[in-house]
Amino acid sequence: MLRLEGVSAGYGRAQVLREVSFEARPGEILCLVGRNGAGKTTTVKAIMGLLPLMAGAVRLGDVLLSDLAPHKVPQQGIGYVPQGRRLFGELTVGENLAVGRLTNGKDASVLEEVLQLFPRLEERYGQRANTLSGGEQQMLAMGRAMCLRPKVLLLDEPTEGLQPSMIEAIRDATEQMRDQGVAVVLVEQRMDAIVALADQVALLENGRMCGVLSRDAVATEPKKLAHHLGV
Amino acid sequence: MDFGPYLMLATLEGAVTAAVLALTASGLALVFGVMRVVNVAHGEFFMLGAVLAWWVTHILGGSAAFGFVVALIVVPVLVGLLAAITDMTILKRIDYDPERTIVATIGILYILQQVTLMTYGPDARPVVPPFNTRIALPWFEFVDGKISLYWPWGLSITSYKLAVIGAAVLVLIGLWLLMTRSKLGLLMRATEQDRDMALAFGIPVERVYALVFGLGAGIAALAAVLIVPIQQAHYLMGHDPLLLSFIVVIIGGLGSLPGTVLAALLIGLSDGIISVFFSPTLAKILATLLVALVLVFRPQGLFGARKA
Repeated sequence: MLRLEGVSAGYGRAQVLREVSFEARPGEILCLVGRNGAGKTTTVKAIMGLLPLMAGAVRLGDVLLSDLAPHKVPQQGIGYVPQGRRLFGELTVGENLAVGRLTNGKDASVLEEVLQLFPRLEERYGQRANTLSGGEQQMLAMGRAMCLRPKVLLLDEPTEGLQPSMIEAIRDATEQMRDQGVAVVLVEQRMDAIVALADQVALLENGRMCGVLSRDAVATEPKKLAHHLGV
Repeated sequence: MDFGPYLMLATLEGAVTAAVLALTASGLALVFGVMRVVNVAHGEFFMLGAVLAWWVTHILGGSAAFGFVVALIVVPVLVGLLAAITDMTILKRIDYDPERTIVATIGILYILQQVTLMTYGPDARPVVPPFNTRIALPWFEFVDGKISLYWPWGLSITSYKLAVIGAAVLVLIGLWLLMTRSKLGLLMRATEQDRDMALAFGIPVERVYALVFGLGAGIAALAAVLIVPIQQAHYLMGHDPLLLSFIVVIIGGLGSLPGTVLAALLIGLSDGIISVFFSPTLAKILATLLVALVLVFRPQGLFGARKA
């Protein structure tokens, strides 16, 4: 289980997150919801160790992630699909997936599974990532993170700017990961996606947690969710 | 000598310059490409390579070939290790900040230069080439409508200079294979593309940086070991390679290895030809002018990609 305990973090001296706490459980999707600037991406970066914590701790089971060097965080089984995809654009599809497998090099079957889930990536295997369409790039970003065979998958607005068929493919992959027992932390702005996918919703406002909604509460209190989405 | 043979001679001399320059500049391009560090001390790692080559051959004595081969293997490793330690103790501590790394590498430049002056002294010292057979080259002329070969006086090259060109080509092919076909190359290219994402996928970026800084300096040292039987080792010999490497890297496209090699060929050959027909100073003036034109009209370099 991924657990954030009173996490405060920011950029330089500018503090963004203030004592954020939540738990992401295996086999569940936790949606991180908040308006622009609420601190969703900062939370994800703090989990990955890409931002130093000012206070608090991030744990995965018994492992204190926030004490590890950033490159050791993915070695614990944390997969990351960042906002805007951030692929290695000059590398081929195959090389991007190879980077995903660096911490998991002995597991050859994972590549087969990813290519089976996203057959388009197999067709484009030798093509440079920055020549792919937006949807294909998102599939590659998902595939790259799945190559780690993660225990926890962090998805930062994975369907942003995609056409409906691609959104469907990404959602299917997310659900598949959840069904395999992965704890998914999903930063999402679309109400329909949150209602369809979330097992729990963590609400962020101005860098502070202001509640966690269960799946049932999401269905019964749509106005509260809409307020935090700014719709 | 006629113009034709004279041009061939100048081209061959230029090819030697181009070969060594391609190696030296590739080290600089590698460091800038992956780490975004402008290594002003790069020329001093080149100089250290030449000076250490003299030390190694001097200490070993005996056969010139044996001493040279040992220097060729040991010196790039020693200089590479020194550079990697420099990276870990200085550049890492200032977080690879672009401005501060320039100042830091200027400091490293003076430290290396002055320590060399204090220990090695101000004299230029030669290293005996392992072999140096003079090879006469033929030229052709038309006699009664037929091509006939003849051997113009002075048209020749040494076997060692040909070996320098061959060795540089082999090292550059090796570097290309390392970057494109090995796991280590994948780590370097991924780090070059996006440092944070490299970390997020488990790449130990700081170790990659130390390795790249060491590799870049090691390649410069290797180039120096190759050239020192032709040029002599001297504590101020790092200036020209540094200037020419910057010229080549800017013309080729910052961080682009293929661009760097092509630009080194362009600059090296033109330097050789212009130096022979006119003067070495004019060659440097024209190369610097070319840099200015590239910066004005094609800032990404002749072979670099324009950033979106």
